[in-house]
Amino acid sequence: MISVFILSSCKKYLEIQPKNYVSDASTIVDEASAQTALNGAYRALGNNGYYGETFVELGFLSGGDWVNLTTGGSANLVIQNFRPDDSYFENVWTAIYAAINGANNILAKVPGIQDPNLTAQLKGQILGQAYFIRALSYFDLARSWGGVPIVLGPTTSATGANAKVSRSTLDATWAQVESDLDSAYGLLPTTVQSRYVAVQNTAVALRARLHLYKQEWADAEADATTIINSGNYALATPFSSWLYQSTNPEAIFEIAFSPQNTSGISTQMQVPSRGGNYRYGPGQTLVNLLNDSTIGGARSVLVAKQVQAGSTTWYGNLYTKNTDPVYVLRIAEQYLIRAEARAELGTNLTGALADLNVVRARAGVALATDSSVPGLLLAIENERRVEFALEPFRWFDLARTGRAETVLNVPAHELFFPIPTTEITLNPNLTQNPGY
Amino acid sequence: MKFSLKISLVFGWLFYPLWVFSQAKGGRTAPNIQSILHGVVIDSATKYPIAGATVRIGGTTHAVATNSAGRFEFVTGQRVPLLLEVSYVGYRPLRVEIDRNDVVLALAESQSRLNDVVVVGYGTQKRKDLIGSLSTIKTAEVRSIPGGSFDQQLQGMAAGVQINAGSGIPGQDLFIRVRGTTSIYASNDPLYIIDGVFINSGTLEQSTSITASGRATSPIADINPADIESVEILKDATAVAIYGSRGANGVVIVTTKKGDYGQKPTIDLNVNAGASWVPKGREWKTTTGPQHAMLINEYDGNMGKPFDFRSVDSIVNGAAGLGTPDEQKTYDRMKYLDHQGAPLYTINLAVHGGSKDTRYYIGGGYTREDAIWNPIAFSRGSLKFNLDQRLGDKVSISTYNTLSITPRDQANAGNGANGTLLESSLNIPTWLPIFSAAGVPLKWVNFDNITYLTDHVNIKSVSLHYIGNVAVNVDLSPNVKLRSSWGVDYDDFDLKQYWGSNTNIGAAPNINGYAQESNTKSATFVNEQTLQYNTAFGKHRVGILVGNTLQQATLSDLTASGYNFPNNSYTLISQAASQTALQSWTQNRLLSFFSRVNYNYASKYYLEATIRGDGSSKFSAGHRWGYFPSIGASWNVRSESFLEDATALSDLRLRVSYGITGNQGGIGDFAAQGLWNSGVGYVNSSGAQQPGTGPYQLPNPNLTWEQTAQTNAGTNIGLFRNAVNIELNYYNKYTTHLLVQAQAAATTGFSTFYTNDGAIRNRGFEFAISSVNYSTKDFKWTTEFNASRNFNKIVRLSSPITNFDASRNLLIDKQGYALYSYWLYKQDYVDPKTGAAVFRHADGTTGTAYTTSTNAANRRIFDIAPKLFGGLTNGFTYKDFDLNVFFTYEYGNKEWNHNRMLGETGGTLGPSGRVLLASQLKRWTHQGQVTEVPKLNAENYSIQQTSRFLENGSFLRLRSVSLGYSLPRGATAALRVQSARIAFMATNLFLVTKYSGADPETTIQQGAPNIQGYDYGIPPMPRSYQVNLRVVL
Repeated sequence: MISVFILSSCKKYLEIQPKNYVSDASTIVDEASAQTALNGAYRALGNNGYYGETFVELGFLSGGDWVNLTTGGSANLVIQNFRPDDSYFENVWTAIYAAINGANNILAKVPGIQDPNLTAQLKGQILGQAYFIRALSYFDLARSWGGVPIVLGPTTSATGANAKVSRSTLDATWAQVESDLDSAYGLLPTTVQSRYVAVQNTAVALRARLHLYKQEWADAEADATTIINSGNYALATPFSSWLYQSTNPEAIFEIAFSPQNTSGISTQMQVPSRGGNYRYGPGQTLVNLLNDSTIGGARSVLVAKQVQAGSTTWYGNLYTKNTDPVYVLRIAEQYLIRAEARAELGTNLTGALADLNVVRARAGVALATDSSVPGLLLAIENERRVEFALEPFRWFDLARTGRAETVLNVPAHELFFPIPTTEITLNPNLTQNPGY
Repeated sequence: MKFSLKISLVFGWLFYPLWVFSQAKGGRTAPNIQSILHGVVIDSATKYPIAGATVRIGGTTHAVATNSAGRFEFVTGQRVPLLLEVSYVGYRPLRVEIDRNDVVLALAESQSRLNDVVVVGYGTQKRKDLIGSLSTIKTAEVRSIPGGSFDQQLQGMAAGVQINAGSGIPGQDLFIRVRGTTSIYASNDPLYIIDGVFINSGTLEQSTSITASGRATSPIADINPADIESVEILKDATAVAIYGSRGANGVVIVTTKKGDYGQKPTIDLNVNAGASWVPKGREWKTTTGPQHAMLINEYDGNMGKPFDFRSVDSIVNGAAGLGTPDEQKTYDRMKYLDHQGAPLYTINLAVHGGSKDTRYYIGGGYTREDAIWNPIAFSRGSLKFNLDQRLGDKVSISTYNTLSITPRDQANAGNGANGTLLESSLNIPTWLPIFSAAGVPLKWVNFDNITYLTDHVNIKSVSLHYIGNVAVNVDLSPNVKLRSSWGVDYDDFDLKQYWGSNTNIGAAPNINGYAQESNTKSATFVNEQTLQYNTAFGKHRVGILVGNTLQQATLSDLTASGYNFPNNSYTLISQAASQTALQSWTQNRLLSFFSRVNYNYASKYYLEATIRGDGSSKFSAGHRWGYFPSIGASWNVRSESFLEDATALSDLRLRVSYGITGNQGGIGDFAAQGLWNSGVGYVNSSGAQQPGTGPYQLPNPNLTWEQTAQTNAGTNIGLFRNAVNIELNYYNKYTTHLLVQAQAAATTGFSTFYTNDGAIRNRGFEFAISSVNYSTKDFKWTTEFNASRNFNKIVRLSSPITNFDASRNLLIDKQGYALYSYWLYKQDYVDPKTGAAVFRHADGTTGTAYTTSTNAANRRIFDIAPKLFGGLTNGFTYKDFDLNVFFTYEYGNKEWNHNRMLGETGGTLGPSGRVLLASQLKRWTHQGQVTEVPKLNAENYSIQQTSRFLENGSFLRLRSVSLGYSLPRGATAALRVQSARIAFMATNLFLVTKYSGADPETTIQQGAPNIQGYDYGIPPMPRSYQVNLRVVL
């Protein structure tokens, strides 16, 4: 009898709805779900493949100042032996495109929502933030790989159009970043409420960096000036006062983490006695630079040492807990962007020197005096090396200026990373960067 | 009639076929008094009616024979109760007092291996009637082998079944494959059925926020091997197709012990005690402190760097020297890890018996096995209660229940830096001290201090497991039986762990102690109805089975974690300053209908066909039903008249079968659906945590059943009155529509998606021989040997899959190659002139490490599957002594020596990086030297995916030896016991292998469940010695 009853409802018997996840058909339908989807898109920026760990490491480990301490790991990265099958590249590539897909879902679905709670202003703010997230994602892709496939719509099928996109040129990718930043600027609020979410200034600060990479010096100077003069941000003094802090005016944009959503980067750099895996450590040269009172100054706090049984071990110390915020844009960078732009323009070398010295003064090191263009450019490069020792800059700085060829003795083709082997296998339209 | 009866009495035992030929229809005898006694004679095992059996009224010459339906009638004046004597050739004669008319008389077959009754899907068959291919293991033969779970004890016992104990940890998941691997992602474990209940065999150890590295407890270990009567492994399509989608990887049917009707209580006491050791000579060999320092300095010198191990007074670039090599000490961490003489003991007590209508088996057992690594231990308490009760003639009810509690002391034996045992002991350079001068444990590299892990980490799990079944059997008529059964497999797995503030995971100052409790519940319900109809007419026998099954499997988990504790005295989550919780729930259902028809003609020609339809909740409507048919035939050639004179040939049967089975295991319950997840929260503009949602899984509404078509051809040969039995099988399994978690192009925003793709072929043969080599009154020698070979190949796959081992991509699944092959750069040789490692590329060219590794196309694909595997058992009995010697072997397999890869880094990681294994001492040092370990420099050691570490894993293992002595009959009578035996057992006494690691059989599930031959951080199989005492009262 029971089976007969069940047979009659056989179709129903085989329909089960998941609880851990929800169907993608009903994900962005009203004000609340649009907001949670936006939170998810921010979270994607903090993925362990992106600002949560690997992308940041890609940016500083490749700069030549670090040593690998584990079998495999970053062994090839730290000596700039870039291999297309290195999992660092695959992890970062995958994580950034996941963030893009999150933003694309919002950009595609939010405009059509009919919900009285979702006012036009709120809708604009949500879309503006999604544009910013996408802009940051394409910016980081472009500075790593050059021109990349541009995907602007949400993915609905694993084998659809989004899986077969060809690479755009570097110029087209930069243009996409700029277009998204302009869209974001037009929609984002002006008031800075926290450092975790994007406002107009956040978009401008990223645009300043974009212009720097594109060597559009006047635009870079203008955007950096906007940020410096906004009054929303200030260099924190002493240098150590902004570390591990999440509401400091030093930060323009940072990714927040929580016990539920942790970052991986502190575990990678800390020593075991502090809960870390100590996968890499600062090389002796970097340790000496940071501890030199005329170069590193107060920035010596970026590394720390452990002494046991007569052995001294140095480790990176910008991140100590897996809930520490990860910095994406800091005011110190805006000063150095403007200094570099002014030095390149050559019209305001005093201003350039002054901007550089703002950063040096905060670190408690002697002010620079050489205001020649080559002197300034080298001083700025060296300043960025210590100021951003654990942020994703050193490699990208040497790559964008081409100085990596001299400083690290890498071949010209390595100024862009190799496209991950796996991705080339999966998408036949994807071409490898020359030289790999 | 009289003539035929006489024949049967005189010659029947010898010439059964002749007798059958001459047999006329059964009938009525001459009347004396007008009263009719009637009944039916059936086979006690198969329930088929027996035609031509002789039924006689006791003490008279009054006899009749049964007709083709097994029925007989007497016209007799005698009254009940009266004694009937029933006989039939090949069966044990039955004398039974009947007290009523219309009786059913069941005859049991006389003892012969061919008459063994074996369990098949939804029924039993005699071995000689089998069409399908299956292996039977009487577990009494193998129970002496420790290891926790019964399936580990089956290794080497069954042809075509490859079993590797994943590690030397008792009660762990193991690697078991019935006729090869058919699936990339779906589970390749066979279906386990215990007393009719389909049970979950996958580990319930959830991967939560703390790494569960190397911990994968097996729910199969919750079952006490002592309660098992027999295990049948169903292999070919005819045997497994009745299980449809559940049977694709073979079926393991476990039958537990039952009582016997009409038998007085028997008490069975079985006690084991012993201990196990790390096998001598299988320990890892490391460099000493001075050797390590010497090698690092050599590396430094080759790289043009200052020696690290120089005088402490020598300051270079601001750093002091570490002391010269001679000044280095050597510290042995392994002694803190190894648990030599780890105790093993087991006690089992069972009572079984029965009355006329009742039979019962009550068993209780307790086992404790300590692993050869601290602090791992396994224990199990179990209770077994089986009861069958007849309710009148036509109805019986039975219930089979297993309740067990399995507490374990666990530890992370496996990959990963945090809290893993081997990395914290073996992998740290030996010159680095374990303790500071003040006695404080020190941590080095990125690993824990081993003494913290063995002394201060608490990982305790308890599996509370119930497997039970209630069934009602109704004889609707003598030919028609209805059975309805209700079963449940409920496993409550609770895992508590506390990592003190001195461990990496719980490290101060940021984490400050980490506690986690995870409660996982797996509940499987099975309801089945079967209707069986058996009939016979003339020499034709027909059986028809129809049935349906409803299954539901639910897995839920609740995990709470706490960190930031006041100090290590507080270990409850509620005492932590920060707490998080995780909850998950997943469920699937399966609705099935099945039918089987079997037919045989004169026990000579056999035919069997099955079909099963399965509907699964995992797939979308329109793709959820799969239909799985099979057909098989068998020919008993020996019973043909043309072989009448072949006296040496006692058995010859040919069997063929073909069928299709499905598979839906291994994929998520909601793999076909497009999903978003939550839990990706972020902060709002004022910094408060807010929920977040994001894309999680791409939909694939077309996802459907993976299918395996299997052809089997086999023969059974018996020689010299079956003193020698040979079974040979050839099979060809072709799997299509593989359920694959394919890699997605990352531009989609996803890294993987589920799809049906590709095809895999497994072809192979199985050979098994058992023989009685010598048999006299006092001495008997028997041998059993089996050998199997499986050829695996991915026939079709759209794009290669390489993302199993996320960071190293050591493995690949690629069209044209075997599943889970290793994907490595082939080191050809070390150039004797320069000491450089020379790699041979796929295109035949060679290169150095740097020039080779720029192009992944230079990698080669290595199949690691064994060319031959199996077991050899020799049994000897002499008077009251018995000796059993059991070997297992694999030949031609390869093993990835990950420990060696990590320990042979050429010093590239500097003085405090990784241990250098003793094999590093063979590095190239001078011109003309021939070695496979290259010169110490950065380039030669820049590739981890080097074929040098994929080693020959062939082995021959003396798996067990047992020597027993049974008390002679006189002594048992004096002691008033039925039997008593004492035995000495040893396992793993020797291992012959060229493998340089600890054990060529170990494997961890690195990244995917189906990886094989990956030796990383796990203990070898222990060597154990035990004493066993068994007394039956």
